[in-house]
Amino acid sequence: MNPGTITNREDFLKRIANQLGRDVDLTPPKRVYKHRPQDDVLKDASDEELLETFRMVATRIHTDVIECESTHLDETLRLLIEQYGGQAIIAEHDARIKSWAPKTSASFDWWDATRPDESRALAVKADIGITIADAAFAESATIVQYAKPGKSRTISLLPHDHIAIIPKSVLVPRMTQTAKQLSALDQDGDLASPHGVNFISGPSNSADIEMNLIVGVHGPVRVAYVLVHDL
Amino acid sequence: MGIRLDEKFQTRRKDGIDNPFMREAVSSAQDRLRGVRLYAAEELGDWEAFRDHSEEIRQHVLEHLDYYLYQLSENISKRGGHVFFAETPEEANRYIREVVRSKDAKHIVKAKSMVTEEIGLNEALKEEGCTVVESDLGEWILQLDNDPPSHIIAPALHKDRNAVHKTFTANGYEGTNDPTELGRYARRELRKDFLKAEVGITGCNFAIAESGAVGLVTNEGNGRMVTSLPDTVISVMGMERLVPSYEEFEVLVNMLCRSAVGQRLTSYITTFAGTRAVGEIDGPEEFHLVIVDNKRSGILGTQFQSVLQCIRCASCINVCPVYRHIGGHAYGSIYSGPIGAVLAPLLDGYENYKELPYASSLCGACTEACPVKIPLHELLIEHRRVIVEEKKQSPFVERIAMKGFAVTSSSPLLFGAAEQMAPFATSPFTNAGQIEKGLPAWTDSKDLPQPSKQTVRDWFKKRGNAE
Repeated sequence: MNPGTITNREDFLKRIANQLGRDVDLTPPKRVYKHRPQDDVLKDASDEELLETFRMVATRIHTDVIECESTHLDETLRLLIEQYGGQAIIAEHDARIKSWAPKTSASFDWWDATRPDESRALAVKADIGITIADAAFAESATIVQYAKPGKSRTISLLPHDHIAIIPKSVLVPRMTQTAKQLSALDQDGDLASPHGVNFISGPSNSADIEMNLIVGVHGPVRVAYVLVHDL
Repeated sequence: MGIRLDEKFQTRRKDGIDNPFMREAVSSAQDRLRGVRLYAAEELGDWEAFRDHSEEIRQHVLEHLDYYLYQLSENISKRGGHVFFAETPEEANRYIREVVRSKDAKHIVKAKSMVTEEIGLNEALKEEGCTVVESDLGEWILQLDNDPPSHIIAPALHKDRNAVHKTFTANGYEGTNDPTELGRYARRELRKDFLKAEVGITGCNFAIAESGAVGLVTNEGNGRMVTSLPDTVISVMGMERLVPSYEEFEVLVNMLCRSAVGQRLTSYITTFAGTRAVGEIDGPEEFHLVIVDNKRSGILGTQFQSVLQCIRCASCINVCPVYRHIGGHAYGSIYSGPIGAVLAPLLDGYENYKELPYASSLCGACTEACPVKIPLHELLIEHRRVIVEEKKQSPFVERIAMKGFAVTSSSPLLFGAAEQMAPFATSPFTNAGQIEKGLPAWTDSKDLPQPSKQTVRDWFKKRGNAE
């Protein structure tokens, strides 16, 4: 990857340092904080309690949670697709789920990096997008999608409905744990974190008209979480 | 648009007070947003420790701002993005216009961004011959109406569904005034713009220095559209809006979501670092970050430095009794409420905003609500001190009155005479014991009883005799 340009930095930083009454200082500062309350949230929650919180908050943010074992994943998805009534579906591959494709009468396509134009066009016209979560937070019923080769930033965004498959093993108490992992990927200067991360909590919404909640503005109108217990 | 709106403060204030729909909308929104914030804080537990931590993170970043901006720019560059440091709005706009021109772009979509309002980017892009579409629902409504935002989080707060219906109908909409139906119309219309745009422009809630990433906090999904669909993405950030790493990002995003809208996390929190990675087939092919100073550096190292801790959650606005009565437009700046009253004079001069630090009851509710512990009401007092003592810009009448009071109160004879004269001097302006004319800035919103005929000295004398 070619590095980008940096313009006007020197004078800009000098002005800042002058105001702070010193010269520009580029030695990494020590981060010493007196407080760290984030580690204590849901600290002692059992797996079952985390699941309970996840379910409860998902309901609050207008999101269905369907739970199954991996052997029933195809059937669960088929029923969900039928219920949503979508005609065109796009889904992403994932190494954690070797082979799956719901038997459905709707047209079904994979997001495929070897066919970029076609994949992008399919995402635009799909009714349902199916993704597999890289992490999930109990506290806020959030799923996390990493942008990386083979994965898409848009199939969880453009279709009317979004189905997120969540392996139960990726469920953590809250964003704190994932933030720590992401920081660990970059802290030695490796810049190994994904070029894009989406933390998604339920369907798109807005309260811009008279503070009334409108569910489904630009992104998906309906979101379902399919929690797979043995993955 | 720029930071400044037109008209004089007293005119804007009166327009606000005389607008019953706006006042009703503002007070119900305030009640609701304050309520959900308190609930979200309560649910989280240990809110004060979170405030303390958020404050120390923000203070740490400001103390080492040169280092973190250096690190951020290095890392964005390594991840394929270009970084432009702009001292002035003109420099920022010129650079963005150059990028747009180099892409031969005609259609631009934007996600909600206060800093681009601040630098007047839309006007600059229109001069470039581009169509610029605001894609946040509230911002889009305002754009169709050519109206400025009145609240940082809910920009179209001052409009009801009928006003939105009228605006949309003029734009070709044929449905009812049901908010969901209005929202679906916006979805259909704006989807076309997202797919057509060659360039997407966003603001930045927090950039992450260690990861070379920009973070956006949204609910509608327009931020994701703008950063995923166009080939070129430009993000514009105020220079203080960054954090060291994902770990601090997480803390502040949590505080922002809970403080702004009472959500544990909003529907979408999106980070993007430079261009799309090798092997990815969506996301930007070209990325630019424009870091704007626009007088922020002048605040560093002064008694006002803590205002740069702000994370733009609007908690202070949602508890402010003055905002409740006069609404956002009365502040004459795109930054309204207590944060606007502190920030606008610093970014745009006392000449234009010397009334704002007085548009406050100093009740301290803003300071108590602030998730990063900015002492807002103390900064307002400090502004007043600077205006009076250093800038000598207090209103002429006030200066004369204060001088008069100094002379009168330092002489027992004059004080006594003034006390006896007061009820007679004010009687032409009174009705049933209340002053009603001559001091509208006070009497429009509060009672002002006529001075009593019995002076303090008389009262004291009588009291002494009685005992």
